[in-house]
Amino acid sequence: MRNTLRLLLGALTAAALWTAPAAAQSLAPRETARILAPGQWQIGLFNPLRYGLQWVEIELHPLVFLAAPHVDVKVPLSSTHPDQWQWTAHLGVGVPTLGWRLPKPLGLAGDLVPSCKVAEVDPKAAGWCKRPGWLVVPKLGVWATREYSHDAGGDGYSTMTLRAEIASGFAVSGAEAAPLDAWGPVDVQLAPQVGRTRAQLRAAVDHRVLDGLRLRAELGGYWVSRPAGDEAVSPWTMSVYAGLDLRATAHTRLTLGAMVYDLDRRQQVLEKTAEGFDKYTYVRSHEVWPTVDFIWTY
Amino acid sequence: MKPVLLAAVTAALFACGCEPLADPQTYDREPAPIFRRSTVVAAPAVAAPARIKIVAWNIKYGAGRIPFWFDCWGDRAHMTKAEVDANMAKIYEAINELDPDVLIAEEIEVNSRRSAYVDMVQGILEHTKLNYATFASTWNSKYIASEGVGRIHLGNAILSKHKITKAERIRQIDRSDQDALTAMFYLHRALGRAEIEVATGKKVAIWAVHTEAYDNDGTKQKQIAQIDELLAKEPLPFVVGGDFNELPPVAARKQAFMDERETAVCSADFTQPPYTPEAMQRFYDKLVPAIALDRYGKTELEQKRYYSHSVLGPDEVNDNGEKGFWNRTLDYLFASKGTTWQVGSTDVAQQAGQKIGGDNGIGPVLKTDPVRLSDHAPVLGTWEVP
Repeated sequence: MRNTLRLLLGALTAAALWTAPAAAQSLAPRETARILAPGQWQIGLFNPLRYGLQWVEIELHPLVFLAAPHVDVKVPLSSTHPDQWQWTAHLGVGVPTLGWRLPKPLGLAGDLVPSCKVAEVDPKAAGWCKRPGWLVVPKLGVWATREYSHDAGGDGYSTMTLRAEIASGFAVSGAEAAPLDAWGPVDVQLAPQVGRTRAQLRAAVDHRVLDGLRLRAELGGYWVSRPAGDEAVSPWTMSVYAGLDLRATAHTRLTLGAMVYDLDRRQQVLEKTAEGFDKYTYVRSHEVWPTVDFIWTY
Repeated sequence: MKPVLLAAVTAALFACGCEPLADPQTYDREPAPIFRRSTVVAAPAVAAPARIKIVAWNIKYGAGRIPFWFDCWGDRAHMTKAEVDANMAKIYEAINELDPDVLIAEEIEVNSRRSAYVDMVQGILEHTKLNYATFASTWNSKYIASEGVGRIHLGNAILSKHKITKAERIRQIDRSDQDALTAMFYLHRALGRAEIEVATGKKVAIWAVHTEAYDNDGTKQKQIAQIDELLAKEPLPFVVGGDFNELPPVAARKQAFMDERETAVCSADFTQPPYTPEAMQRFYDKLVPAIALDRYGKTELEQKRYYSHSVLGPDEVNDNGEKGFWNRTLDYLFASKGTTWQVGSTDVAQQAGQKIGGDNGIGPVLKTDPVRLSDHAPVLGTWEVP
């Protein structure tokens, strides 16, 4: 298994290095405050579609757009200068409710939230159905990026990026949904979509190693609100990401990495009391998620 | 291929020090944890013969009569902390009224999202006169991605006023009619066994049972046979009790219960398979039942007095507008040969105003109303051990 991974990584690195001379530019950093140039677009298998317009960049995720219409906009707040922080506002809005009402493959009803099948055929049971009602989810954030090193002989550079963002689900109608209390990335990503407020601070370094190879690391801290009277679970989550971006062709890159979450998921462990009896105590959970994506930029 | 993949994922999670996605089921018979009340209450002195009041009760994880999605009469998947606390307060009240020396509790949860993560074992210890408890986990998964159930930790508990000196979890046969992924995250039935020292040098064994409900491959019958085989090897005087999910051999009604949906509205996974009452006969032949078969009577009207389960409660109605009430017997207490049940002490605690043991019973007259506290009624009796 380890040898296979080594071979794969070696092949990808070789491919990145081999294709690098053919590329006009060095591989650009990802997820920074900088916006795409007008007419430029980027999309990944899992990463969202980004499109550059004059002065702004729009972002949406085609995979979930039908069931959960949404759009994000990045608006530069300062001019681009390599030696200064560039500031960008990140605004967004979404209406996720259909995604909670529709079953697979369009939605997640019956998986992450109740499907309310009984209520659909028996109106007198409707009161027992507790799935998310209609929600509007606005998002507001600020990104700041600064270059910290330049490739003297070319156009490559390394960046550090700071992000602060708050998103909240505002109920328009229907019942208040329960927190998902699922896996780390699901909870962090979808908390506002079930009516919670999520605040996040993230700091990332996107380091140019070679023209076709970048190293990316990120620290994240998240706070997700709990319903009134429900303090069983801590609202704080931490994450660490480390990964590589490898050029595949002149316009594509492969991203490989791992995300580690530290969060409270009411994990129990048994401990002995002084008297020799057992007791359950709660510890924070750790989750490791491998990440992979293939991203096109044109 | 799927089991191999699941095993690889589970192994990888262990390797990284992460919590397993589900209980890996790497045991056949293992020690179970023993918990203690924060302040021990003096247990009653036991004379000869020892009289031990035993209650077996499936408490439906403190949901009272809230219809959950698999009940097919409602869609609830979670309760609020306030709902669970309110329901558990009534359960504590009922336990205190029945005042058992030993409580066998099924469908009791210690850390489930659907029951607001309330530790019901410790809750019962702290709110009753029971001092010690053991918990045989039967469903321990980090996340159940079905209706948003989430984390679940459910099991069978044995709680006692007297000291539990040894506790075990004994694995039951798993279902074979599920795909590998479903089977991994489904509950895995287990028996709880506790050795209790009721007096110096005098030990008894208590077995907690909750067999399969929805299998279509004979799993429940195999589990019942497994219990029979295990009890045959029990060296101590014992009581076995709980929710056997099976009718008594003399059941007048075996199908078409009033709280079964006439049209399918929820998953076929929760359709009641045909009962096999004859599977219970072995216990009546080999053990001493708290309620003997002749007490049940022959007609539905006679047997109604000992029904212990209903999906619908008295505040809900079926498709024909009929209010729910106990409509079948699934819960039992059996004692080992050579021991007896005190006359007038055994009963199914069905509703408020009922005198335990009947007109000539020893009481009490119930103030609490079990029919509103769970979808199962407590069964009880005072066990006499020479």
